[in-house]
Amino acid sequence: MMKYDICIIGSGAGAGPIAFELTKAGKKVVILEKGAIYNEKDFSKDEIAFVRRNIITPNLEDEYHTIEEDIDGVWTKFPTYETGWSFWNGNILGGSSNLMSGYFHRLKPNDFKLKTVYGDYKGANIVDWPISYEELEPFYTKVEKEVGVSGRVTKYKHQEPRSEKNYAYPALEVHPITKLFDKACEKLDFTSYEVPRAIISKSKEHRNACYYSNYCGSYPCSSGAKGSSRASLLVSSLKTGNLTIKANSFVYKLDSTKNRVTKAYYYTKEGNKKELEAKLFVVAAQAVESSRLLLNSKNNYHPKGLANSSGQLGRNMIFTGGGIGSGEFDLSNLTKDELFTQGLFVNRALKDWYFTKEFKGGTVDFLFEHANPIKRANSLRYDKNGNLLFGKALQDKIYENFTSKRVLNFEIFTDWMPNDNCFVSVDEKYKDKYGVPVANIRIGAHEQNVKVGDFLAKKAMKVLVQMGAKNIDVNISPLPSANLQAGGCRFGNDPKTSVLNKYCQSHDLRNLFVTDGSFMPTGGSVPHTWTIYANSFRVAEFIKTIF
Amino acid sequence: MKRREFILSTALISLSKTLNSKELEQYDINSWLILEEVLEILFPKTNTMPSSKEFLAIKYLKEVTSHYSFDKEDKKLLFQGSLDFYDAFPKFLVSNKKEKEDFVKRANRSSYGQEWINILIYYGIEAMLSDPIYGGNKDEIAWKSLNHETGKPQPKQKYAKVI
Repeated sequence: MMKYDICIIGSGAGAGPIAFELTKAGKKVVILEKGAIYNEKDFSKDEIAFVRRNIITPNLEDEYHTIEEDIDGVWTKFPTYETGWSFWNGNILGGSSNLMSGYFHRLKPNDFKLKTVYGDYKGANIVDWPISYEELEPFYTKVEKEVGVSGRVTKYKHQEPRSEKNYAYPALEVHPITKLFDKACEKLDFTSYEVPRAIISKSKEHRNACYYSNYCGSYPCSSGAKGSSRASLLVSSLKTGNLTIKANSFVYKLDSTKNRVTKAYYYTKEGNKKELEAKLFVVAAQAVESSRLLLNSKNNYHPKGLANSSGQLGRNMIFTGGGIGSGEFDLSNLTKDELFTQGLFVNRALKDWYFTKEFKGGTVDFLFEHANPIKRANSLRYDKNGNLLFGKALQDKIYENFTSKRVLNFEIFTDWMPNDNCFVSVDEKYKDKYGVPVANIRIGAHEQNVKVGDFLAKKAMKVLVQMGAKNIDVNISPLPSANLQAGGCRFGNDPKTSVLNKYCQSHDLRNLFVTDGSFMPTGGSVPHTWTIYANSFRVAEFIKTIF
Repeated sequence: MKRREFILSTALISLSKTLNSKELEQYDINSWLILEEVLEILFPKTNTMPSSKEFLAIKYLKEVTSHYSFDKEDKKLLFQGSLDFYDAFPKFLVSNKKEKEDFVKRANRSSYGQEWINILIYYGIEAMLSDPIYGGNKDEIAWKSLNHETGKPQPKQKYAKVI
């Protein structure tokens, strides 16, 4: 049996930097990826395939999760094949980084020490990180260059320190509506924050610049401009000749001795069982599945699961809190040509309340309603009173909506407060088509998530009013973001209270690392992806020093 | 997030026998005719929009309901509902347009009937606005009607098959 130096489980943002750095260092690396290998020529803007069907995610009747919700005080499990609420995100080479929108925000120095800054929140398990912003900063900068981050640095009161003056790539072109946004912010004395994107505005090696397809988030990128792990890191890694990718390989168990992981067991697409040996293992299957794999890997040496001597494995899962809102714009706001300009980005956010004196605030990103015509039209099939529309009334409403207005959305990101009722566990009662226990996700939310969401929504709505938007709407929700997952394998200095050490290495098994978002004790009030990439580069540097 | 937008309710119209899975696969041509005529009531031609027959809703449904990724419960409801509708309104196919509209409105008054109509609208909109590679939206007729500029590249293969 071929024995690799390093086996990585998963191929997304937590995996790519490890493969990129270690293959360049001459290590023989193998990636076990649950999904298939795609490249740019396989991608299209097909709403049916990429948005409306489970094609690049598992069929929920075969592979599902259970979601545990509080129903009148009783925690109740709902299999996702009953609800359709999928927590899978992109089972293809490069994982969910192929499908992200690429709104890239760094964490800020105080994000690494929330407990020190704000103290305890009742009912929340806030702890400081074992590393500082200064330790991660060089790797944020590395991501800007290697993955590719475009934009213009906004000077405002919460701007984090930077070692480079500018982002690695010039800002992408923006839609005329940003003029209204900037003007409204000026009037309100808010900062119009220009959002950096993990989308390159100039070609880089095999990757072409963004071509403004108008179908970005939820779709894999056909030019390679979006900084997926696949396009930005794995293609280069393959060129070293040191990377092997085994696609359609679902890892269901790791084997170990007392001190070391020895093997990965996996199923092929055909359902055949296989195994693979390596000297070092890196788990990066996205937070929910990483905790599931380690819990399902229990053995005589580790009866509670691998890396779980603390009993903390799977606990303190985090997502992002907040909600969404919207306002409509028509020809009273902009000319027809301006309003219906397609493809250009909004790339604006509010971050003036990222920190407040009293509480941790958050971020509000602004973006146009997604172009997806089927989704848009389906949202129109009820009237104001909730009655089903059909016939001419439905046809007219669809026409009116598509041809006379555009909807500007906002998305609120608050810190998801880690708490005792948000965790991943496994339950022998619920198994997938392979007979492997599925992940159960208890989604208890702290009340602070909604409070901060409400606070930020009021600021966002003020901007929309000032811009002249009509039919402004907002929906703040305690439900988690299924696509933004972190936590479950907290890193920390104390083996009794954390799963990983500060290098994301298991306290219990020294050749086991976890490099997706699982390590995060708190997630910041932003999407996690840039931090996951940066941290994975940081861990790769450490692995190079010990291996 | 993707919450199911569709929940089965108790049958109020149903008098017909329940289809088993084999029968669903062998769904007969008359039943497709019922679906086609009901869809034409739900999506009539207007001054600005094409009708379901123009955007080939039935061709689309025949294509996608045979694929593994189509929701099995939705498929069952689509087909069982059309049988039940025909049982409840046996004169539907030989009626004029106004009478057909009245039958659909009457069906919409029951919870089961409304669930069935809702799912027809849901997939009718897919037929209208999906890429023509799936059989609907003939010659991009609905996109053109709405001045909708689709993203490029368009699919060369259905269901994201690796090229």
